[in-house]
Formats: sequence, C-alpha cells, structure tokens
Amino acid sequence: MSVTFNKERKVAGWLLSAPLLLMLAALLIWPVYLGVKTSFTHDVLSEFATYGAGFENYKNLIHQPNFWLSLRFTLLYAFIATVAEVILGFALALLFDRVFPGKRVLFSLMLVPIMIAPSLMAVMYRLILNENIGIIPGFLQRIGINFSIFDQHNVFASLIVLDLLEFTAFTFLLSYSALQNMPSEIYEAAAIDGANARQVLTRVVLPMLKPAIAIIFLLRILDSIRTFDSVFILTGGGPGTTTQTVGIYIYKTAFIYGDFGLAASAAVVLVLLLAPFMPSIIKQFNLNQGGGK
Amino acid sequence: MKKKYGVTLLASIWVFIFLIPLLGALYTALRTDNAISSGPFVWEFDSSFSHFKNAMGAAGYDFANFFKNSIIISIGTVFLTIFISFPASYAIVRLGFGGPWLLRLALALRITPAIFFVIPFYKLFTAYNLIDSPIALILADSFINMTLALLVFSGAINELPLEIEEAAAVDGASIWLTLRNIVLPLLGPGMAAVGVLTFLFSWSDYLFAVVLTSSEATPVTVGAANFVTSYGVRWGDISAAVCLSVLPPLVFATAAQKYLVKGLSSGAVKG
Amino acid sequence: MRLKKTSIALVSALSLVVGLAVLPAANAATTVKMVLWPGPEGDAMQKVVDAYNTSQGKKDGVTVKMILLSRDNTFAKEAALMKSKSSEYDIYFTASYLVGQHAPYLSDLKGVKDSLYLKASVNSLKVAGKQKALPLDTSLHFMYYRKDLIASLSANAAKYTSIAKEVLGKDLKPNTNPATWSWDDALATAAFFTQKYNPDSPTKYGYALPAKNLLYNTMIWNDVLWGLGGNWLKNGKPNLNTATGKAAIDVYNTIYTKGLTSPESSQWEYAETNSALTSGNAAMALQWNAAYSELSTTGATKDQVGIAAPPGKGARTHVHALAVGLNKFSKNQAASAKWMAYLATVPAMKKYATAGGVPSMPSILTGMVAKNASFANIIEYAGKYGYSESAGAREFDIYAALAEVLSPAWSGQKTSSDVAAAADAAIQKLL
Repeated sequence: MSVTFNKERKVAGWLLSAPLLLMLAALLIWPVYLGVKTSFTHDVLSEFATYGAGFENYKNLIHQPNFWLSLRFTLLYAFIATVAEVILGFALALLFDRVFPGKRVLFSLMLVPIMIAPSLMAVMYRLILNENIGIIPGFLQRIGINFSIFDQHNVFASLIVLDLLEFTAFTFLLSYSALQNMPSEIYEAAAIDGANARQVLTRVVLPMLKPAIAIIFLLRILDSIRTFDSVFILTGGGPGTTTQTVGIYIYKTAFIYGDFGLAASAAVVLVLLLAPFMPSIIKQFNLNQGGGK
Repeated sequence: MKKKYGVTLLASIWVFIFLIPLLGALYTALRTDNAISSGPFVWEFDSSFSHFKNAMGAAGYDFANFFKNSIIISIGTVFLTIFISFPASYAIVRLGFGGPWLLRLALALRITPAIFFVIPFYKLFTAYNLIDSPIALILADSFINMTLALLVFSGAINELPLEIEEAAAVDGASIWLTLRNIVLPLLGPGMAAVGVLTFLFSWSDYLFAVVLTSSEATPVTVGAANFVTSYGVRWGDISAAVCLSVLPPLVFATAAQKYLVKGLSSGAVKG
Repeated sequence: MRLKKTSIALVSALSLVVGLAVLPAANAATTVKMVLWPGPEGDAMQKVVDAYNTSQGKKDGVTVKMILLSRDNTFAKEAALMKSKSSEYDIYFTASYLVGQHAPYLSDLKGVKDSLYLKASVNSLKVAGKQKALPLDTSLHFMYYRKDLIASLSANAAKYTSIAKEVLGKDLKPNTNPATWSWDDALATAAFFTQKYNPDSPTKYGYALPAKNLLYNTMIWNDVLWGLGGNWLKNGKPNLNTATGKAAIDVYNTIYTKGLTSPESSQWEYAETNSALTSGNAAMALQWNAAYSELSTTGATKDQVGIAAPPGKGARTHVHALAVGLNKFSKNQAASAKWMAYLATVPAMKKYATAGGVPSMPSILTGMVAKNASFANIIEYAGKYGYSESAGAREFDIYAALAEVLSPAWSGQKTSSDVAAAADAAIQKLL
C-alpha cells in the first residue's frame, strides 16, 4: 500500500472515531472525575456548605453493613436470575428454531416484555399480583393454591421469577439470533450419523455456540447487577434492607437521604470491586472481534 | 411437510405467560374503578373507556407531551447512537484505529453500573442547564447504548468480505466512498438491529429519566408513574397508559423484526 | 423493501415531532414558575392557576406557570436546586415535615391570616416564629373500620373474649365504639375478624397493615407511638429504646406475627392497604384521610366505612400540611408575592376545594361536609388529637431511616428489642 493511503487511513481513523471520542470525553471522563471528586467531598443536600472530606465517606461506607448486604444481595440475585434467564431463553430459542404455523406473530409477541419499561412493569406487577384485587392470586385461590407471593419467605424467589418473565425475552432474542449461525448441514450430517436430538444438542450445538452463550450471559449479568427499577418499586428494598440492591442503596443514599458524597463513594467502590473481572470479561467479547485486519 | 401444531401450542403457552402483565393491564383498563377495587373477578366493564381517555390527557396530565418526549428521546438516541458507533466501528475494525483499546474502553462502560453515572450526569447537566431537556436524555441514553451498538457493528463489519472493499480501493475509491457506497448498504440488518434495540432500551429507561427530567421533558415511563398519587394508585388509568405506551415500540420492532435477528446474528452473538 | 419503509416512517415521525417541538409559546407578563407534584393536588391547583391567569393575574401583570415534578423525587430535586441557590423556580412545593430543611432557602411570608387556617396546619409551617410557607392540603390519619362488622360484635361477646384471651392473653370485652378504642381493643377486634381465629369472620384478616419500608408508613406507625404516650424525643434525646417505644413496635409486630394481617403486608403501602379494605379482605386499617373518597364509594366498604381517631390517648394523629413557599433566590419576588397573596384568600382556596383539594381552611371544609363527610372529622381531629414531630432540619430523613430500621420488626423478622437501640442510633445521627 502507498504512503499516502496509509496517511489517509490514519486521518480517516481519527475523523471516523471523532464522535465516539468526543462522547467518551464528555460523558465518561468528566463524570468519572466528578464522581470520584464527589466521593471525597462532604456533600449533603440539607446542609448549606460543601467541603472536602478526604476519606471520610469511604470510612463511613466500610462501616455501613447495609452497603455490604446490598452488594451480597445484588450478586446473588444477578447470578441466579441470569443463569435461569440464559437457560430458559436458550430453550425457547431452540423451540422457535424451526418452521411452525404462526411463528412470525408469536415471535413478535415474545419480544413484548422488552418494550415495557421495567418501572411500569413493576407497577403492573403490584396490581396483578396484589393479594386482594390481583388476577393472579385470585386465580390461584380459585384453584385452591394458597401462596403468598410477597411473603418475606417467598419474596426473593418471586423477584427472581418476575425478573425472568421480564428479561428472558432479551436472552431469547440473542439466543435465537445465535442459532441462525448454525449451518443446517450440521443437523443433516448429525442425523446421517444416527445422532438423536439430545446428542446433537449437547455434542454439536452447545459446543459451537459456547462463545455466543458466554456473551449473552455476560451482557445479561452486567445489566442484572444494575437492577434498580423493578425491585425498588415492588419492595422499596425491604422489609428492612433484605431486598436492597446496590442500585437502590446508592439511589436512596443520594436522593432520599441527600448524601451525595457517600453515594458517590459507594459507586466508586462498586466499580473498583468489579474492575478485577473486567479483563476476562473483555476477553470473552474479543472472541468475535478480529481487531484491525 | 407435516404441520407442527404441537410446537405452535407450546410456543403460545409461553407467549401467554410472558404477556400476563400486559393482558392484566388491558383487563384492568377496561373495567370500572368499582370493579377494580372490589376484586379480580368482578365483571363490570367501562363502556365509555374513561381510563383510556384519562391516559390520553383527560386526567389533566399532558400525556400527548409525554409521548412526544418519548418519541423524540428514543429516535434521537437511535440516530446519535448510530452516528457515534458506526463510523467508529469501521475505524476500529478496518483501519485498526486505537488498536484493541478503544473497543475495550467502550466495553468497560457496559460493566460500569449505570447508577455510577447518575450523580455526575445530574451535576453535569445541571451545570450546562440541560436538565429537563430531551437533549440530556438523548446523550445519556446514547452513552449507555453505544456499547451494544459498537459490538453489533464491529461484528457485522468484520463479517463483510474484505475483497469487495479491496477491489474498490484498487479502483481508486477513497475510504469515504467505500464506506458510503459499499459498506453502508451492506450493513442494513446491523443498522436495523442497533436501531430497534436502542429504541426499545431508551423507550423503557426510567432511572435517567426520573433523575434528569422534571416536567417539560418527562417521557411516558415517568409520566405513567404520575398516576400513583396521594389519593391512591389510579390502577385503571395507569394500566391504560401502559397499554398505550407499548404500541409505538411494538410497531417499530415488528416492522424490523427480520433485520433485528439478522443483524444480531452477524454481529453481537456470532458463534 | 421493508427496511426502506421503516426508515421513511422514522424520518417522517421525526420531522412531525420536531415540528411539534418548535411550536411557539408567547408570554408578555412576568411569569412565575411554581413547583407542585402531580396528582389531585396538581389537578386542583391547575384550576386555581387558570382562574388567576385569566382574571386577577391580568391586573397584577403576572402569569403563573405550574411545573409538576415527578412524585418520587420532587423533594430530593428541590433540595438539590435549593442547594445550588437556583432561581429557576420561584415557588417551591414543601410540607410540614420538610419546612425545617427548606427554611434557609425560603423567604418569610407576610400578611398570612392565621385565623383562616386550621391551627395545627398553619403553625406546622412556622420556623422560629416566622411563617415560611402557605398551607394547601391538610393530611392526617383516620382509623377506618367496617361499620357493619363492628356492629355485630355485641352479639358475640363470649367468643370475642375467648379469642382475645387466645391471641393477646388478655381479658377484654367487645368495644363497639372505635372512637374510644385502646390498642388492645383494636387488636382484639382485629383478631375477632381474622378467619384464622374465627372461621365465621366475613373478612379473612382483621387488619390491613402498611408495613413496607417506606417513610410515609413511618408516619402512620408514629400514631401508635403517640397514642401510647411516646414520642421520638425526650428532652432532645432519642426515646424509642424505652418501654413505650418497644410497646409501639410490638403493636405492629403482633398484628403481623399473629396473622391479623396478610403475610404480604410486609410489602404494602397506601394502595395495597386500600385494596385490602375495598376487596372485603380486611376489617380495619389506620390510613390517610385521602383514602376516604375511594373507600366510601367502592367495593365492600361502600357506604359501610366508619371513621374514628387512631386508638390510644392524647395527641395521636400525625398532621401535616402540604404547602408552597417563596424561593429566597427567586428573581421575581414581587410578582410571586402577588400570586401568593391571591392564593391565601378564601375564594382562591374555595376554587381549590371545588376542584378536589382539601384546603386547610375550616370555613371551607365545613361548607363542603355534604360533599365529603370526612371533612368534619379532619377539623375535629386536627384540633383535638393533631400532633407533628419537630425534629429539626432532617425530620424527613429520620422518617426514612426509621422505616428502614423498624420495618423488619413491623413484619416480624426481628423483635422490638432487636431494633429499638438501632432506631435511637438512627435518630441521633440525624439530629
């Protein structure tokens, strides 16, 4: 390649990336700086003055059992919900990965949960799961099942199921898309070899789609860790703080107790705790990324 | 070929389960307030559709404005996200720009919880007087969505046969012409996938909307929550608002369904 | 090609939207921007604003524009605006439990006629003797009960006594006048109307307990504390880790652990409490006065809902007023004051009441008793039993902190002894 072409490539690279770089500069670097700075500031809404506080917020945070409890709850919740959603989404994708009557319409309807804001979905759950006027408990009682959905012994499982109903649509969509990359000859070849459906699945399909499934898992769990809307509206993080996610903890600290400094330090700690996992996660993504050719 | 009605039945059952919240909302929106508060099986329907009328503005809320805001925000986010991610993906994949680092940095964003950005964004947009403007939400939503967009685009560009672009280069076409005349048209499905997903995610955003808007730029998600009042939750009205709020994204996603799958399978989740 | 169609649709939708967005909004007079929250208060105020803008406002040269912040975050955002000494809004929405926090950012109001208002309401908006905000709606709590059920108690005295013995371990006789209930009477009656103890009870549960971790639920629980003679503070020190404080926590704990309320009520707030009553699943609840219109017109409580003051003795119903105050940093002080002066008149508040508000003016409420019978109770209870905590600038935060600390005990996960010390510590931190 000629020298001028290389130079053109370089200029073009900068120009084409300019919007991304600007966006990162404006919305990543500046907010991260601001966030970190706030975390070292005594910044409480109901007090007139704001002043530097060194590590005060971090020291306070370490002694906040609620923060650590919410972290534990979040990780547990995110992991269980994600595993369940990936499995169910993949199973449904396998079901849909064939020709059957009404497929087009049913496929569209499968995606509807993605279209409803999690916050509105949560309000709807408050209604249809309401013990007194909700259709689901009403139906359960009619058929003689006595189950308290929001009883504190059941609330964790209930939240997981609701998460499942809402976000499986996303894992389903990605799993289904991934399955479209499987060449149909593979099924035929396997059939000729006399493999049954289960063997095809475990020996051919799953190994081939392992990278895709890993990506789906990661995309979903990263979103799960940020769970805020639905749990906040359904339980407010309670009773006490038993269902408090890190998102709810940070939100309440900042916007209900008005302690911006402490909330910012919690956010920084969360990122620092997740940082060690970033390289391996990024490596997963790079599986399907060729880099400069 | 044998018709697989068994599969249809099984798929329908699952679709029904996933649609329960929406069907519940529709059922509630059609009933009278007395029926709603008396119990789930009180059959008393509201022949004047007053809940839908309330959701459309009769209740005093400016729902037309909420819908307008949601549409501005979602469509604005789609365009901005594509504008940011598409050229950058080409630069990263084909021009080797930024080595692997740029993409890694963008991916790290996805890992950083959105809540991390809430407080800085609030301060930043307040400082520039963008609070309660759709621009603030378009910027915030684009920022959150661009990671997935970069993934889809770089995957899809990687898939394109290099030979076509090389042939164009040999013919003397510049990078710009190649990008516009050859790469862009081939990336239709990827574009649709990014467009639809970005639209859906920004349509359903609540966290940024609740913090960054107050009244003028309020989208449907936050507006519908206004039916939760100090005189009780207006179940019928909020249900009608939910039913109506699903229509725009449903139409949008159904129209682009085929490209959504195609775009994702050649991009984000290529095995 | 479908893709093309989609993009055409997109582009035309976009242009339509842009077209709508640039529609001009012309305004000549001084515009006063007032924050309120959406809901009945916002709806009612819009009527008053409209009336003002088309009449008195023309004379004053003032146009009022109302901004409805989302309910969840109205106060947090106002606090953020106040802290930055913003002049964006001229009039802030505030409330009795927040006025201490907002006071440094609000101008003193002059010429407010105290005699027009409910005393508890107008006084709750004074800070250091200065009127900081103008009362709008007054809120307090009622003990709501099913009249038809309570009337049936006398015929079942023996059964009542044995159930009270079984559940509470106390000897009690039916008390069919809820206005004179002690908490023991309320709990025994709740037990009597719980099917677990009385299979013949028409309601599944006797009580509907809003026990979710939510600061407004703390306000309701506070009535139990006051009704038993307690308070957050004694001589400026936290006072919940005491026999009375624990007894008040135990009232909720008993209701929950004895099954007098649904196990799900650990996630209940206002709306769920209402639905428990209207669906006929519960017989009584301590609840906001605002619930009356729904309770008296729908479901099982239709025409059967009775109202009493909260059980106990002395001052025992939380009273607060929603209010509006004038931003000290507003650049339109004079214009805002003109609008506030109008808002403080009886005709303006009458419009507010007609449009669905519950103004704090007894003369207006009295005139509307025929429309809403509970207005008579508001006047009576606010005068006889009304109280408001006065815990300084961070009162609002204390309500939230107590909800977090106490809700596990309300719902039986912990005992009153487990949480009482933590509750005191939480209050101490925020004094």
